[in-house]
Order: sequence, then C-alpha cells, then structure tokens
Amino acid sequence: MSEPLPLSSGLDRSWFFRPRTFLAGLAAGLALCSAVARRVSHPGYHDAFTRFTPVLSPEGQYYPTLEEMCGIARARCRPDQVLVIVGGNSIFNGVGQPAEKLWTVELQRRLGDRFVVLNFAFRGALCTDGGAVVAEALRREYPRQVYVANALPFGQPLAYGADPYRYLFWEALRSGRLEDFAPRNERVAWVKAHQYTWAERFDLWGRDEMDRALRFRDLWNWVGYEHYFTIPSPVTPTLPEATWARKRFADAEPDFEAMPLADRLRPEFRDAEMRIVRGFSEGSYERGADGGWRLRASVPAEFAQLAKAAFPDDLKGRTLIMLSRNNPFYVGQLSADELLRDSAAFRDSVEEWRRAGYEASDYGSGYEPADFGDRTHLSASGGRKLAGQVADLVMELSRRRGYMEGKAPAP
Amino acid sequence: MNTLDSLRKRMPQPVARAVAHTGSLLLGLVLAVLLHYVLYRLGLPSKPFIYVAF
Repeated sequence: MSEPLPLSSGLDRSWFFRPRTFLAGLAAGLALCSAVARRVSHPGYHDAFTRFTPVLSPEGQYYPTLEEMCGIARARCRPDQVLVIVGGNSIFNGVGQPAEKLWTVELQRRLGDRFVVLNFAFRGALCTDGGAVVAEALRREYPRQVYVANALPFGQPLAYGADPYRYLFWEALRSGRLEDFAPRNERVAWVKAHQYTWAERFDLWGRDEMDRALRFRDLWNWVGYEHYFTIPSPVTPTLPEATWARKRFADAEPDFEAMPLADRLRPEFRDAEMRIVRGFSEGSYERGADGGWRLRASVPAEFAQLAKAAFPDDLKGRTLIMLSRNNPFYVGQLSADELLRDSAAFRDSVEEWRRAGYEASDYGSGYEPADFGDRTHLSASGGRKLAGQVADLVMELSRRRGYMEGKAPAP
Repeated sequence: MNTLDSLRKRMPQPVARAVAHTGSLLLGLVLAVLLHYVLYRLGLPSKPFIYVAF
C-alpha cells in the first residue's frame, strides 16, 4: 500500500480548485456575456444618435455592429412609419454640417412624422456599405423602407462593400441576415477566392462564427459606448478622453458656413481638385467617329454586372441612388468639351442605374459654390437643397410602393 | 500554500467543499469575461482606419 500524500504535495494543494466547476463557470460566464450582449443591443442604446461621428466609427477604433445599428432603428422607428436609411460616404454623412444643420435632420423635417430618417453613412464608404447592409437585414421588420445613398458616376457598387466597413457585410452574411441572392453569391465567392488567402478566410470565418455565438463585439461596444472605452484611438489620443464612454462625446462637426468661401476653395488645391473633377468622366469616355464623346463599351457592361449583384432584385426598387456632382466653382473651370463629357457621365450613369432596376437621380446641378464646403462636401445650404430634392423623391417612391396606405407591403 | 492548507484543516469538510466549488466557479466566470474581452480585442484591426477625403 502506498503512503497517503502529505498535505504539502501538489495534488493536495489543489483542494480549492475543482476543474469541472471551473469549466462550468467558464461556460456560464461566456453564456452570460452573450446574453447581456443580446439584451442590450437588440432594443438599441444610442439615445442621442445623429450619425456615426469619428469617435463612433472605425477611425476611432469603434466598429458599430449590425445588431447595434438595427437597435438604433428599432428604438426610433415604429412599425407604422416608413424607415428611411441613408447610406453612402462622407457627403451623405454630413461632413462640414453641424448636428443642428445636418441635411438628414432637414430631410426628417420635410418628410414629417410618417417617416423616420436614420443617417448610417460612413466616411469613405460605398453605397453598398453600412446602411445598405442594415436596410437589408431589417427588410422584414420594416417592409416600408427606402434606402438612399450617394455614388459617383459609374462608381463600382461592390456587392460586398469595401474596407474598413466590409466587416458588416460578413457579419450579416454569416448570421443569415441577408437574402440568398445568386448574382451576389457568385461575386462573394469570387472575391473570397481571389482577394483572400486561405489564412485570411479561416480567420474571417473563425472570428465571425465565434462572434455569432458569443457576441463579443456587441457586448464590448456597449461597454465602450456606455461605460468605459479601452481601445487606443487616434481620434482620442490623450487621457482621460481616451477612456471616456463614447456617449460622452457630442457630435461636434465643424461648420463649413463659418469658413469664408476663399478658405474652402484654396488655390493651392485647385490643380489636384481639377484632376479629380476631370477623373469623374475621362476614364469612361472616348472620342467617337464624329469627334464627340462616346461611352466606352466596357463601362456600362461592367457596371451592369456590378449593379445587378449589388442589391437583391426585390430591394432594388426601393433603393434610391443619388449621384454626387462637384462644386460648380471647379466644374465651371472645365473646358466646354470637358463639360459635355462631365454632363454625359451623370446622365448616362443615372440611366444605367435605372436600367438595372434602381431609382436614381443626381444632385448638385444648379447649386452655388457656397452650397459646398470644398470640392465635394455640402455646406448646410447645400444640405438643405439636397434634403428638398431627396424628400420629393422619397415621397414619390413611397407613394408608388404603397407605403402611404394602411396595409404594410410584403417584404 | 501553507496558509491554505491550515485553513482547510480548520474547516469542516462540507464547508471546504463549498468554498472550493464557489472559488472555482468564480474563477471560471472571471476568466470567461476576460476571454470574451480578449476575443473582442483580437477581432479589431491593429491599425485604425485613416479617412482621407477625395
């Protein structure tokens, strides 16, 4: 018979540690975290939401989750109201427009109480990013819905969005919140095969699958928003602001209208800005036999394929794409010939969007230089003009789709 | 460790068992929260997105 182990032995020292109970605690802790994340995200917690400011976006190391954004919609929009989700880039985000002069606030005022406008545009995003994903994820909860976003003429509407906002697309796809749409599926399969290494695909899959089960993004975003932020960010580089709950930061967008016009359109930027203005059309057009501008054959063909896959067919009709024109201060400096090409680019691009099944228009024609804060972003006065134009289009679209009648349409 | 051993010797067996289970459970819960947070941090890009207007 062996001697009993002395009290000081390694085995006996672990009398206070019970592995099975520990594992049960670990599992219960993860389940609890996941449950809390669901509980706080679903109804929404962004009480004073205006838009995604730099501290509430990837620039500030804050990546809003799909459920968090859906929660914002749930907290604001009643089932009997028409949900208007605004997506797109910094122009539609309202860069240069303070919160009280934000164009989507004006849009809400013009549309009235039957509509709820949510600005889900992000800086540098495509029309298929952010807001587009949320709009599709909410298609059954809010069948009365319009999605509005801006784009450039013949800009590529990638079905899977662009970095750094593509994470929302993967999140929605992995969690089964997007429609099963074959043209998009093919594009997604292609991009995964050609632009991601197997290690990146595995990483993406593992991260999304784990997050789907454990909801760690939802929970820690909520902690960061409501209580304490733990991620170093260039937007809040110094203490104590770096750790402040993100809800403490007001929407403090500067006002273009407080800047003299000469400061908004500085001569040293002129050449660079003119190259961009010309670039809106010069890659898509070539000289025809008559010496006039002709759309390159490959451009509409490629665009049609991308636009077909960008949104599911049943959602295209409620998607309004607004093409962003440049400041007339710069457009007016194009030659007469370049001006013809520029006009053709907007006209043809609107036509191509419509041909693909979307609602489309352009804005900026007839605006004054003071309606812009730089080459492309709108000042508050430009925002008011845009809001008026979009309000008319959203109203018309809503009437046509039967949103103004009592019965909710099929999703 | 000697302190723990002497503590256990002074405790009745059922109490020692309850303390062990409670401690292990709490340790599991705390580590679960830590693991949850680590997974969140690992999911974030190491470099933030820098927005440049174009």
